[in-house]
Amino acid sequence: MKTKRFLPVKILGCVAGGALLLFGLLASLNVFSHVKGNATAEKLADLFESDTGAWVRASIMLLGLLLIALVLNNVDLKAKGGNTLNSRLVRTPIKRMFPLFLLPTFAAFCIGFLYPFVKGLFLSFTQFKLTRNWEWNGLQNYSTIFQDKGFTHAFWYTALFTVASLVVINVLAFAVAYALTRGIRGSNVFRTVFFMPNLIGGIVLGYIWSTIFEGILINFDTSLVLESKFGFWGLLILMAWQQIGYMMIIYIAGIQAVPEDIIEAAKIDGASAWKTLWHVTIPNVMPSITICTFLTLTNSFKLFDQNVALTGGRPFDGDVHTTEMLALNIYRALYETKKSRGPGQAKAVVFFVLVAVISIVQLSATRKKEVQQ
Amino acid sequence: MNASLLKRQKRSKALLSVAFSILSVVYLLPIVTVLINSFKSNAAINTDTFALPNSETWMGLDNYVKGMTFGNYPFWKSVLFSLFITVVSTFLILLCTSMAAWYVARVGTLFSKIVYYLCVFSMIVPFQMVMFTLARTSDSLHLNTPWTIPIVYLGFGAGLAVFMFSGFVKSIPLEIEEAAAIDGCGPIRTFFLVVLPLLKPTLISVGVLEIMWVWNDYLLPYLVLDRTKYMTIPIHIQYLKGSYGSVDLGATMALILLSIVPIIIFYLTCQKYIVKGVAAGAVKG
Amino acid sequence: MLNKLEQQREDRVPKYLSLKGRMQHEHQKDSCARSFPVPRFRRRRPCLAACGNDDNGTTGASEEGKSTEAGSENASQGEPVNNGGSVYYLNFKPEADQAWQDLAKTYTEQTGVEVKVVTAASGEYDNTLTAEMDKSSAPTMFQIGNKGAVETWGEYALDLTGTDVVKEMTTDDFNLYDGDKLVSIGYCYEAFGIIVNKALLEQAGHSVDEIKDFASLKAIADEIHGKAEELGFDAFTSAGLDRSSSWRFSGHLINMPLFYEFRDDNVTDQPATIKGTYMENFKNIWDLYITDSATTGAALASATGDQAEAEFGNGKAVFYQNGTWEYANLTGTFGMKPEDLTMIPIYCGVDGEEKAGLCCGTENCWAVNANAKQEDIDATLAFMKWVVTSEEGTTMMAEQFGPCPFKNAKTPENVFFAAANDYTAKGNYVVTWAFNWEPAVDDFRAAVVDAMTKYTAGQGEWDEVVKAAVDNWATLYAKDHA
Repeated sequence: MKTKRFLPVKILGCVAGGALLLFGLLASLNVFSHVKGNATAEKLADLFESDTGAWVRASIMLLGLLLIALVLNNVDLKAKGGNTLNSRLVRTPIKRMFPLFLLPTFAAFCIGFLYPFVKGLFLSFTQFKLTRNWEWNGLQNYSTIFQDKGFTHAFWYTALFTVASLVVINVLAFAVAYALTRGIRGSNVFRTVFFMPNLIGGIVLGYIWSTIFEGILINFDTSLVLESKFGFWGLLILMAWQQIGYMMIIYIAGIQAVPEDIIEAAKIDGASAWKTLWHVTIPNVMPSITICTFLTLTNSFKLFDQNVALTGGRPFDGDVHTTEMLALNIYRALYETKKSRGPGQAKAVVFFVLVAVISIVQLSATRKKEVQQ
Repeated sequence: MNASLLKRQKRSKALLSVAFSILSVVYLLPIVTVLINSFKSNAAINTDTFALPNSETWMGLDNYVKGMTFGNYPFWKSVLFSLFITVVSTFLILLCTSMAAWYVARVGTLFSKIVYYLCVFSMIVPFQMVMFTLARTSDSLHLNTPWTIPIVYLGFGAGLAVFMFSGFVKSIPLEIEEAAAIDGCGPIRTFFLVVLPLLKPTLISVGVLEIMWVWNDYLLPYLVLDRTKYMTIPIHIQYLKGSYGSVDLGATMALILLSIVPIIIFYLTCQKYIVKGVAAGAVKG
Repeated sequence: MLNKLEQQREDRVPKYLSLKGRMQHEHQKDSCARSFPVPRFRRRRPCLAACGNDDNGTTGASEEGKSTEAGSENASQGEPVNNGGSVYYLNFKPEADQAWQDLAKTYTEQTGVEVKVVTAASGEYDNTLTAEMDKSSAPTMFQIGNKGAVETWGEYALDLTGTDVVKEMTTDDFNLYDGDKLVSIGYCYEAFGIIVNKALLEQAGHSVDEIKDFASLKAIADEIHGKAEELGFDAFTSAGLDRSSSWRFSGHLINMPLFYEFRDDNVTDQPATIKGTYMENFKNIWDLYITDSATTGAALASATGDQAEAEFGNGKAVFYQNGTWEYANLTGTFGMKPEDLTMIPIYCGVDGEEKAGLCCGTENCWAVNANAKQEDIDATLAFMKWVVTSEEGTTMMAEQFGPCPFKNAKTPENVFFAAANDYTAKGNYVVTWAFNWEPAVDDFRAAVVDAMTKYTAGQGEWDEVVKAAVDNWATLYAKDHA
């Protein structure tokens, strides 16, 4: 009922906010200095596009967003379902606290995610060495990256590694979790030990394992960075060592949540241990399995630190770095290029789309499974 | 027959125990290797990685002393920065996102819905997508110091935290808050005195995830921080490995060990919460 | 004044890279001395000792007509003005980091001008520069050391023509141009070869004079290696292929085959492909390194630069391939006696190599960021001038970098430069830095190192090293110029 009141004010607020936002965005992307031969644009560029004006631009954009936010914040949605309530007793006082409760997070979110995302998307359609000197070149970057042998190699390598680690980590983690829920002596100690590597960061892990692998391989007159297969298996061992503990914890929680009586019933029916595992336990820990597959999938796909520290992509074969995964390839294309970084940003966008697709497919699969239960 | 079955079960359990004991020892070997090598001379680390130090290769605490001053940047500074950034970022994320999540979950406006979906969206965006522009943005906004980088962490980490918190808030019965409101509590008091205590389990699990993320994070601080003045432990370790002519393996080993000791202590003291946090976080995430 | 500079530039033999010019002059023996300025310093040395600052004072005054120029003894004080600008120098020599930090501190104490010196970790320079240049507080002073870097960063460099620091220079040979724009100035030059511990060599019953070519080097090295146990030292230090050491070979040692190939083919600019004509000679010397040494085989894959340096410094090896920059460490950290040290050319079995000199050139060229604030640019130029004119600056430069092409430069104590001069004085040809033309340097070197590591560990053939060098040169060049 309140929605219709002040409608002109609201529209005005939205338009003004949008204009401010757009203006700030244009200034931040240095659009004004790209307009040639226009006195106003030049003046605006002088005023707003200097390096020191970053806070001014950010404030303009935030102000614009705030205006829009305030308007949209007064558009109430009808609550669906019982719990997301219409209780005005609770709701109205909270709503007034917008600046305290939501604004800090929202502002940081804009700085730390939203703006970089938009700008990254924009820059992927340009050629640039330094961000302020971009040149628009449409979809060119996207066509070049698929001819980049290093990138396609990194893609297939990442895919292969992801599948391998998915299988290895989950099978082992489940086996360990299953054994540790049998009530054997010292379970807690084992659990503690297996989980520990998880807390060590990727860079440190990489160097620990590179020391170990080099120490072993030196006896066979070779080295980790000489054969891409060493790099692959090394990374797999490293990841398994790190991740098994984490997945184990999730599986243990899943297995312990399986009702005792079902298992008892299976036993009474004379099912063997294998059959109980296969037909009773596993179907009942399906949610844990989907979660773990999802986690290993994304962890491996986005792997960076361990990759850098263990092999750094070596051995190299021309511009193909044979043990390089996608994240590292993108990093190199953005930071170690002597030419345009546009293709690097385009790779990042493609990478984002891949991760998003994996996540969405996985999440919808999880949801379906949960519904079935 | 039943007795023999029990006996067999007992025996297989004992066998499993033994097997897992061995496995656990193997599992710890990498860390032991680092420990051993941190007392050895550089040449011995290369050639006899797995040998125990002998009188010739024993360096005592030399590697540790060297490591502390290695590479023109004192290690304790990196440790302090790592500690500071982790503590402040985690605190900031917990405080701000729990408030935001409560707001989003309780106020059903168009805007709060948009924020919620943006947060969900941000969860599927890999860091590589935004890293270049994020580094650039935080540099021009002077968020490149340890004192300000928690804002970047709050911004980039908000998605998951808001998602987890609002999931939990939705399960808190509204009646409690209504009762508080009737008793005359404003939103601030309601949140801090009523809602926040109820959120404790989620606070712990989100907290654990954030601590593990921030403490071990390499790329974000590497790109965002003004490396000329500030380093964190992972950046420091990475720097140790790559300078012309001067890779001091012994010192690197010593520092690697020093950098994992606090984690292990933290883990052993807060193990219960960490394990719970991981399990809870996984179920939600 | 401008006319003079114009003149100077026309005189300059190499239009683009000093290397190019010197390559052209390689066969003309009499021009060697002119094209490579080491002898010039030799000639200057007595002069410096004898007439000191007077000489420089008069030239400075007559040229610029400013009495406050570098001439007077107190030039270092008072001259630079604190105009609110600051200096940010991105240094790429980790070994000189401490010296730069100290010098920066001194400058700040004297003038109040803030000088920030940052040193990129090894192999990280390009990376760090790329990241730092995009920041609002970008380096005001950085290095553009070779042709590739001119192509990448030339557009961001200030044209240094006519600046005070350039007026202090004694040669234009090491400066890099982008067309007519003076992009960066070579502030020192270096030489590399095989460093010899003369005392140990004598202990083994030989002297440096016996080493005239590859055959004589090999004979002596083999002999020393043969009785290493008895002598207590070996011939060569470990030829480690860890990242901290491998640049000595993928960068410097490979210069030998590249140099001779380019000399044969009269190559005067970065070529799109190489043939690998002299790769067999590369193999000769490499085999010697990895055979006549205490560390051999796969252990070399992870042997570090520190290790080799320590072996030489502690008297465990007679020969050590490295450059003039090692002098400070060897005499300082390891306390070696200068009279025990010398440097000989890298011999690899090429015809006529007994007339070879040391490998001389530079990658150390300063550039100034054209996008920096004007006051920062001014502060940077003032700082650069101070470094090459003041007592503290010239002392540090001489200690860290050896001879520097500036009027006030101090003569370094470094015996390796004396060796370089001796060879040139004897009429030997200078081996120029052909490796400055390596395309996509990091990738190229890594590929070569990988192949060398395999070969060294007995896991691959030498053909693979040749292939890695030749093929990667072509692919990486093509990619760079796509």
